[in-house]
Amino acid sequence: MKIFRAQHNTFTDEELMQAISKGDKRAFDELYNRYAAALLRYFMRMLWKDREKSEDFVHDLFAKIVNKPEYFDPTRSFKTWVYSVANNMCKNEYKKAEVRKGMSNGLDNHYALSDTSVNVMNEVQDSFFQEAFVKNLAELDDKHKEAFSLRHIEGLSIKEIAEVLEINEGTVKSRLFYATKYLAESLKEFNPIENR
Amino acid sequence: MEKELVNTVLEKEFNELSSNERVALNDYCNSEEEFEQLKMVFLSVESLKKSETVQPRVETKNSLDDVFAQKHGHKPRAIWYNSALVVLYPTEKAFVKRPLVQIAAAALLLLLAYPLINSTKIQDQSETQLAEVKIEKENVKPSTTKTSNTESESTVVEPAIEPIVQTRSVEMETVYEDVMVAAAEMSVEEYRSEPEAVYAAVPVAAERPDGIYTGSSSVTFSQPASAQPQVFDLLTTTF
Repeated sequence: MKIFRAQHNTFTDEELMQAISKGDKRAFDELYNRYAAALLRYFMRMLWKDREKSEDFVHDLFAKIVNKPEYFDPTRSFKTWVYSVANNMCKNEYKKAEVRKGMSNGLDNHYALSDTSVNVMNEVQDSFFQEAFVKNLAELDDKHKEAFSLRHIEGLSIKEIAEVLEINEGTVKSRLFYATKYLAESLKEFNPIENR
Repeated sequence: MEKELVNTVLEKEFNELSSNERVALNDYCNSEEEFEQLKMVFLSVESLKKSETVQPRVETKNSLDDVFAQKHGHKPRAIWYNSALVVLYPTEKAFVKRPLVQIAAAALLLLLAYPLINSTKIQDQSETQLAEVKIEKENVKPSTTKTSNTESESTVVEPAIEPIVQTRSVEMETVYEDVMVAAAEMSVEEYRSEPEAVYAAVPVAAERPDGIYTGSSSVTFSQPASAQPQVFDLLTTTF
């Protein structure tokens, strides 16, 4: 048993996907261990810190991997593919949220979620500065937020982000520049030099 | 922004930047103030990454395990012979040192040696049997006269046995005198009125011990159903 686990640890993501398509449970466990937590955090950042929804999205994404492994193109990077699927799921959720917003009686559906997100973050970190950063990151529009998250939090390269978001690298750089500038500007009040 | 630039922002102060680094960062910051703001953004990102310790729930994984089991038909089970095979046939050992090979070799030797062991046993047995036969032959000679006597006695007794048919015919007449047997749809009279039709081939009572007799003539006896189509029809309709 230990020998098999050791072997799976050495597999690449793409090799694990091939093993999953053949019904290898340990390969699935290994892939889940590698990506589930990172994807959950990504979903939480992208979906207004909604833990329940993020858990559901992680479940749906891995269920897709189990049920339709043929959707993955082995010539592509798994990391890029999985984040592009996650990103598309978020986009669909934004569209649904827009529809719900249009049908609602003027109340902002995200109000409650944003409110809980602050509470969640309070549990995780008590720094007001960090809260402000998270709040500003959440307030960024979706396309800039996803580019910034993928680059600086998930650690994807510019090329990988371009593949995930299906845009060219120049656009990625532009979005990253805008997001970085926006966040820097929004954290101006905490600047030690300005407050001197 | 490249990773190296992010590291530069995080690790250095504005006045420590080289001219190349300043050029590279020119788009993001031109002054110390802007540089500090940029540094704060990246410091926040780093602390956010460290603080994000959220892990997926166990229920999510369990549910996914069920999805996997449904998709691939079965839950993974430990195969009992895998552990036995590891002990009996360790691949890391030399072929001749593997226990399974050694057991198989011993079994093969025993199998080959068995006929040799068995042949000596058979030889011993045949010798003892021959000796027994000799002894029996010696003992048999005086007893032959006795058997001839018994045979002659038996031939004398034989005429005393009466034939079964004879005794039955005499006794049956008395026992089944008033017994009448008929088919469900036919009365005894019908049988009696047409004795020729029913018993066209009635044998002598003595020759049919299975017959039922009334007085001097038999009433019925077993016969194939094809001989009486009425009874045959009745049987078929009943069953």
